[in-house]
Amino acid sequence: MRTWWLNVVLRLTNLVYARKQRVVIRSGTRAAFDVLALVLLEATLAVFSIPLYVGMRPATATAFFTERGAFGEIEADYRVRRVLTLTGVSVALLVWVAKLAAIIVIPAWLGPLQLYTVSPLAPADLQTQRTLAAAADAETARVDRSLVVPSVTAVARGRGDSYTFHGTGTPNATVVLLVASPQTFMLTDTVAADGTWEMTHAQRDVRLEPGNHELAAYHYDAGTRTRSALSSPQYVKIVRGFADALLERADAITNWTVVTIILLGVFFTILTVPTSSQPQRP
Amino acid sequence: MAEKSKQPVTILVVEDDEVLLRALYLLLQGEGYAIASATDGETALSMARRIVPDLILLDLILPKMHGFDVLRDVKADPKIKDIPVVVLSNLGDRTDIDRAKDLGAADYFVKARTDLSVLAEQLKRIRASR
Repeated sequence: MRTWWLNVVLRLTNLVYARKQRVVIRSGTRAAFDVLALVLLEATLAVFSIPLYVGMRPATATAFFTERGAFGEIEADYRVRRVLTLTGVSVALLVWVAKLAAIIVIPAWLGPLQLYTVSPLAPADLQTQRTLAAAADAETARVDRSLVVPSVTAVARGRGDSYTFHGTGTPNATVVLLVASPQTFMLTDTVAADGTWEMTHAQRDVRLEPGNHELAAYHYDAGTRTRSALSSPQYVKIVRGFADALLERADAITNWTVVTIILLGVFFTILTVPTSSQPQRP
Repeated sequence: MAEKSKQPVTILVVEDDEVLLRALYLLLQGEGYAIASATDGETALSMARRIVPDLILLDLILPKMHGFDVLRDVKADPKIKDIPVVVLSNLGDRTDIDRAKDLGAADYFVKARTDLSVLAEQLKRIRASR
């Protein structure tokens, strides 16, 4: 098993060497690909070679000195490197354990961790005041049953975690779209001359929670401060994007990566332990 | 002087790739050898003269002094010329292999085609034949 692992290390060093040769002679995108492959190979080799830096026994790094007439230790720096490597791994492990302990212990002693702060109340600037007033008007306007009710016809998910809502309505009229559950927010637009409208919502602006959201639209007439009745509700399911999921789990991924590296290190270190306590002489 | 025959057989491993050097160290240590190591040609030659190892495992592409030059100088030095030198190199051309053998290499292994257990066995065989 140990020879198998050492052969893997040998193969990886060969692949790294061959890839370095290619990087020297190639150019353009091929060279970029080779550099990327080289980085991946070096990273793989780093993981596979952890035990070589952790599990070696420097005391046996000896040779016969004719002038001294005895065997002596030659590569004393192996001991130093081993201590440094072990120190590095131990510090990483301690940091991880301390972090885990803090997450468990601090809430028990001091109550829930404060994850956010609330800023003090302050008057909104003029532009924001106008926007809020318009939004409030659109929301609280009197319902005029004679106004045509717009409709929501389709939803398309776009790149970068955005959603585009499509619908129809009275040309050139203002249309308000409500996206609700559990929080509600409004999007407004003017209906195009062909009687269609579309509004895009990006999750990076206002983050909608994953799950079903109700969509309803109405026309708003700012001149008469009236609005139409609500359109029949449609539903859209907001799904968590890859970047969101990754960020949400970043902490867990980081922790498990550390655990995996340590376990791999332990596993390969076990492989370095000789099968018999006394080395056989050739 | 201590009696050398009672001591473990010493191999001088000459390899500039530290990861591979450590891998070879671990392999040969497991076989019961005492290991001396050098990471460039000049140091390898001076160490060979200083410690007179029982066997030299030699890489060819080395800093400061090429492995072929190390091999040539080892074989030209009466004190160490009888030490078997086994080449372990990335160079796999027939001309390189022939050149190493002409210079006196006991065996030649190409890294990309080498199984370390076969290498260890061959080192044992070479050592036993001396």
